[in-house]
Amino acid sequence: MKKVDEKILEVKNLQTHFFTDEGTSKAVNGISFSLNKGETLGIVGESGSGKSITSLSLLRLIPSPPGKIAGGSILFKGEDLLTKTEKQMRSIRGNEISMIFQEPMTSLNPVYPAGEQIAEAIRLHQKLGKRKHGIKRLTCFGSSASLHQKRGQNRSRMS
Amino acid sequence: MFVFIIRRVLQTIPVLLGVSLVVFLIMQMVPGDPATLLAGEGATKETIESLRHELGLDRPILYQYVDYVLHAVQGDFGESLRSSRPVLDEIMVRLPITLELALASIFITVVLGMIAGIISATKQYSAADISIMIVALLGISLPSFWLGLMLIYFFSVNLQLFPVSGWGTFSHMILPAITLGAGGAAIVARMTRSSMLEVVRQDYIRTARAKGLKEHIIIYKHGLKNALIPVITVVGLQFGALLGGTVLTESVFAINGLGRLIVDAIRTRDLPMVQGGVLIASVIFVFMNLAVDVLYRYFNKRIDLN
Repeated sequence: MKKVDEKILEVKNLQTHFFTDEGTSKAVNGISFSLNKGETLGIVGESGSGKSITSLSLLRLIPSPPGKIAGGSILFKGEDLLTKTEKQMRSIRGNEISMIFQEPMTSLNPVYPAGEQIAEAIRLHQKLGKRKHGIKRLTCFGSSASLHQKRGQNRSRMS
Repeated sequence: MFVFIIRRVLQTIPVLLGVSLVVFLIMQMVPGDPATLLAGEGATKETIESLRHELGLDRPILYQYVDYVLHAVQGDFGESLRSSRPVLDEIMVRLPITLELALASIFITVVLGMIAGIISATKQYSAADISIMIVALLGISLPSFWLGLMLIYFFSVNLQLFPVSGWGTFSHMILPAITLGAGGAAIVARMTRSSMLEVVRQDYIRTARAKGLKEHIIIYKHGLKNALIPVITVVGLQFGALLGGTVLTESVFAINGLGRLIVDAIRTRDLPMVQGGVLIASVIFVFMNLAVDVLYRYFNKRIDLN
């Protein structure tokens, strides 16, 4: 049994709602879970059950309007992410909490090389010079090419 | 890329042939005989007939056309019926002025239009957005000659800030450039706004946010380059409209550019001058379109030029 102070993430009664003209949609309605250091947690559910919205809520990336985190708390390293400023959130996104989106064809920018986009997050937070880091992992299938130039297999390997 | 440019340049040949044929036929169909106008009032039938023969106007139309094209490809557009000087020389004197005006206007169209569009899109439904869209609607709706006259009335006559007419200094350029560029700027602003609004909803913008990038980097690096692709098309098309617009603007501001040259030539039935002027304007337009296609490829590597 792990100690309480090893908890890295604790989500309590999180509620993310979407307010539209047709009424309010309670996409996430009171989810609670916690994650200890070194642990892996998989969230499973049918489509539309709120997995993505839960994850996006952790990074405060819910498009607003119409979406809004209506209640609950997200404790990351003991601090509530919902009370952080936008600037503080930016230093957490892509640095302490990262998200890898599905569908590389739409999740990556079509006008920039894929490797550069992956390196961008690392460069940003670790203040590294251009193209020093991160790209190495991609060189096996050519990091400077744009996504559309890749075949299906490589596209999904990238995601 | 090189092969693409060569092929596109070759493709302009049939386009320009078509343009020359259309201009030639239109000028044949408009009422009024250049020989009659040139001979002046009270000229005898014989004088007019001999003038027609001298100008080659009594030959079959097809023969006249082929003859014209064969000379034109060698850079010989004939002589002006009015001044008897080579058409190309007259055009080359006027062309730089029109190009200056067109470039100043396209600058206004692109810079003003894009800035307004980006502000509108990033602050959707704000007071700034609504005012920009109202001004843009006015900009599209106002005819350029009316806008030109109003600008002259307020800024030149009443406030005496700019010269009323003419060309030469920077202050001469401002009002005509605004007159000519306003409509385009309004279209570009609306286009940039809608294109930008569509782009910021894309998944890759969400990815950029998830990386912790600053908002202005998200907008300008990840958003703008994608949003500009349809805007470039509009700017390219606007350049064509702009060349047409110079005709009106140059008349309103009494600028001695290519547009005014063509208008004067039409009025005096100076056939070689009209044909030469329109043909040169078409060449510029065709090459502008080529530049747009190349820019396309630069902004969006997904477009396959071949």
